[in-house]
Parts: sequence; structure tokens; C-alpha cells
Amino acid sequence: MVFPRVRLVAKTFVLVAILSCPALAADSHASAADTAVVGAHGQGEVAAAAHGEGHGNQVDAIHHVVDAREIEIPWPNRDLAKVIHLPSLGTFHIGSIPVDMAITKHVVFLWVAAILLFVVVSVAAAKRSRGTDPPRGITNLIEIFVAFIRDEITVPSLGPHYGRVLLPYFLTAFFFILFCNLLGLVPYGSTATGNISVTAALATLSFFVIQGVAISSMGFGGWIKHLTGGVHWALWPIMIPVEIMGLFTKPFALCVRLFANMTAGHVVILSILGLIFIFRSVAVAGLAVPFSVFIYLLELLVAFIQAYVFTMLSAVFAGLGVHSSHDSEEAEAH
Amino acid sequence: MLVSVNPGLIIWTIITFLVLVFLLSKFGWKPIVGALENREQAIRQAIAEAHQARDEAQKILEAQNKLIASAEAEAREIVQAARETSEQIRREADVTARTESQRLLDQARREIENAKELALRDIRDVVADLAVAGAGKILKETLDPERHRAMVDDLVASLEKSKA
Repeated sequence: MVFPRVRLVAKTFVLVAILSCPALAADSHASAADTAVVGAHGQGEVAAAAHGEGHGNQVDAIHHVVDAREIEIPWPNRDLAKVIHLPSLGTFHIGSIPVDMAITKHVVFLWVAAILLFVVVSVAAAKRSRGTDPPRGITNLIEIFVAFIRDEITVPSLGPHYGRVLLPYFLTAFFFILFCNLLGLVPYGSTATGNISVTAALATLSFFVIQGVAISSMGFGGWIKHLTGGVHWALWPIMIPVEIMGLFTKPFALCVRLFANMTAGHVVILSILGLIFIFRSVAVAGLAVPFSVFIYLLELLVAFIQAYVFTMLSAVFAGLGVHSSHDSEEAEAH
Repeated sequence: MLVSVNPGLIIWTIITFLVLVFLLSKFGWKPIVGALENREQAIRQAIAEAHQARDEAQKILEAQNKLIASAEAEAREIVQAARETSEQIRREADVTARTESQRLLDQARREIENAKELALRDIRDVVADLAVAGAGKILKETLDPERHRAMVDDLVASLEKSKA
């Protein structure tokens, strides 16, 4: 069984390499894979024009990862391929900080992920099995994740009460992040979770959930008391700032971890494909394309892992608030 | 550029996420988790029922086995008793038959004895008569019959005595 599988993988590599060749020739950008097009970006004027800015002879990986004000609609016929300029909804100020409510590329992909997720989950909910019949198809797939998140993440971390009450939040966080991550792996897609503003927003929501659980579990007084770390009052001037910093480092870590993981894979793929243009040789593609396919598959794995890690760590951090309250058991007994 | 924070995008993300949490909780997670929990409950119940049924079956089987064992013991007892009874009956019948046959034998013997006695007595009478008649013929008027008879009787008695 091993031998045919090795041959299959080899064939896949050859196929991918062949399919990539037209793009490498900088001829038909619109028909090739997303990554290849942006990789070829530095070479051809067409792609450069499509991006609305020229980069000369540079391979710009960052440009592909960051947010944009327009979306490219791919089409095999280059004349029908379009660039949609997204509307700007105006800017208002919070204090002196300008808040630009423009619909950017990442906002659109957040919505695409949200709509896809809503459709998939409502279909799964509509087809759910009644009674003891096993679930089938998409419902089964969704249920595996739901049962896993409930039984392995929320209930063990937060206990049976909070684990059930907050389950919808954690399920949504997991699936939303997963869908955003996966959309970045679709050609012409964009990884909204590779934007630090998006991960900061998600981490902010986690911050509120974490503190909300802690306050609800310990009471406001207990929560304040927890900030003193239970040490002698003379140490409070040191302890309280440390604890308050601790409140923010956890979501900050969540934010940066997700952002960095989702950005890194794309940058690595583009860098490897960029080698072809740095060396100005199609022969390099023989090595670069299989390697970028490997990184792509790794990213597929990372998409799931990071969605899991974000959800799991949010639950664990929230669980710390629940478990601290076991010191004052009377409060919970009421 | 890569790590610049866009407050508008943060707000859009929060709005999108909160709307999604609301919609999915209502139309997605609630039915799915509900169905999951119902099924888990049903399965747990089915397992508990199966356990109970198994325990019950076990109990019934034990009772059955006990019943069979007691029935077997009883049957064995009955067979044993029957064997003993039959043995006793056989022995009794044996004894009865033996005594009966003994009795019959004795009776037959006694009857034979009686018959022999009678026959002997008859023979004696006849012999006595014949002897008297013969002697009377020989001796004719030498003696009267009464004296002869007494003589012969004495003779016969002495004969019997010597024979005994």
C-alpha cells in the first residue's frame, strides 16, 4: 500500500509543478493559483496593475498578507477579471483616534466566513438526528467538533455550569477562527485572522469572557481581592500592578499567537516561491513548488491547531477564575 | 504596515462576531447541542436499562438454576425412595411367597399324612378282617371271633411299635 501512495504524491507534485508553470512564465496570472500570481507580481505588469501599484523587481510577500481596499475577482479570461473597490463608510473619532469604518478586504472575508459558517451550521442543525439515531453527513462532522469542544475544552476547564453556559461562545470562536483561517488557503482568499486588528478584537472578546467568568464566579469583591494575589498588604504596591498586567498579557498572547501563526505560513510560501524569481530560473520551481505545497499542507494543519489553541487557552484562562473561587466555597454554595 | 492596528476593523470584527454568536446560538448550537445531549441521555438510559435487564436475567437464571437443582435433588430422592420401596416390596413378597409356599407345603404334607393315616387305618381294618376271616376259616370253631379280633389287634399294635 505504501508504494502506490508514494507514487500518488509524486504525481501530485508533478501536476502542481506543471500547473504552476504558466504562472511562472508570467503569462496568465489570472488563471493560476493565488500564491503564484502574487509571487509573479514583481515580474509582470498585468499583475502589478491589478494590484494597483507597481513594485518594480521586488517580490512583495507582505503586500499579499496585509489588508486592502479592493478585492480581485479572478477569471480565466483576463478581460473579465475584475478588481472591486470597496466602499469607505466614513471616519469618526474616539478622542483623538480616527476610526475608519471602511469595508476592507478582511471585513469582507470576515463576512464570507460568517455567512459560510452560518449556512453550514444551520444546515447541520436542520439535519440533526432525533432520538438515538447516529447523526449523518455534515451534522456528524459538526457534532464531532461540538462534542470535542464541550467534553475536552469547556467542561473540563470551566466546570459543568460555565462550561455549558459559555459553550456557544467557544463554539463560535472555534469555528469562526477556523473558517477565517481556511479562507486564507483558498486561491484569491484572504486570511482575516492574519490581521492583528481582527485577532485583537477576538482577544478583546476573550478578555471580557475571562473577566466576566471570574467576576461572576468570585463576586466583584472576590475579583478585586484576587488582584492582590493574597499577599501581605505591604506587598500590594508590587502585586496589584503585576496582577493587572497579568490580566492583559493573556489575551495579548492570544492575539499575537493567532496573528503570527496565520501570517507566517503565507509569508513562508511566498518566500519559497519568490526564490524562483530571485534566481530567475524555472528549474528552481522543481524544488520550490513541492516545498510550498508542503508548507501549504502544514498551514492546513495550523489552521485547525490555532483555532483549537485560541479556544482552548481562552477556556483555560476563564477556568482559572472559576477554580480560584474554590478557596471561598461558601460563595458558590449560595 | 503589517502590525498597524485599524480600529475600524476591530469594531467590524466585534460586531460580526457578536452577531454570529447570537445567530448561531439561536439557530445552530442550541438545536445541535440539544440533540447531542438528548441522544447522550437516551444512550445513557439505554445502557442503564440494559444493565438492569442483564441483572434481572442473571437473577432469573440463578433462580432457574436453583429450581432445576432442587428439582433434580427431589427427583433423585423420589427415585431413591421408589427403589427402596420396591426393594422392600420385593423382599416382603419374597418372604410372603416363601412362607406361603412353606405353608402350602406343610398343608400338603399334613394332608398326605392324613390320607396316609386313613389309608393305613383302612388297610389295617381290611388286613384284620382278612386275617380274622382267614384264621377263622383255618381254625373254624376253635375260637370265637371276638377273641380272635383282640389277638390280632394286639399283634398289629406290637407290629407298629416295633416299626416305630
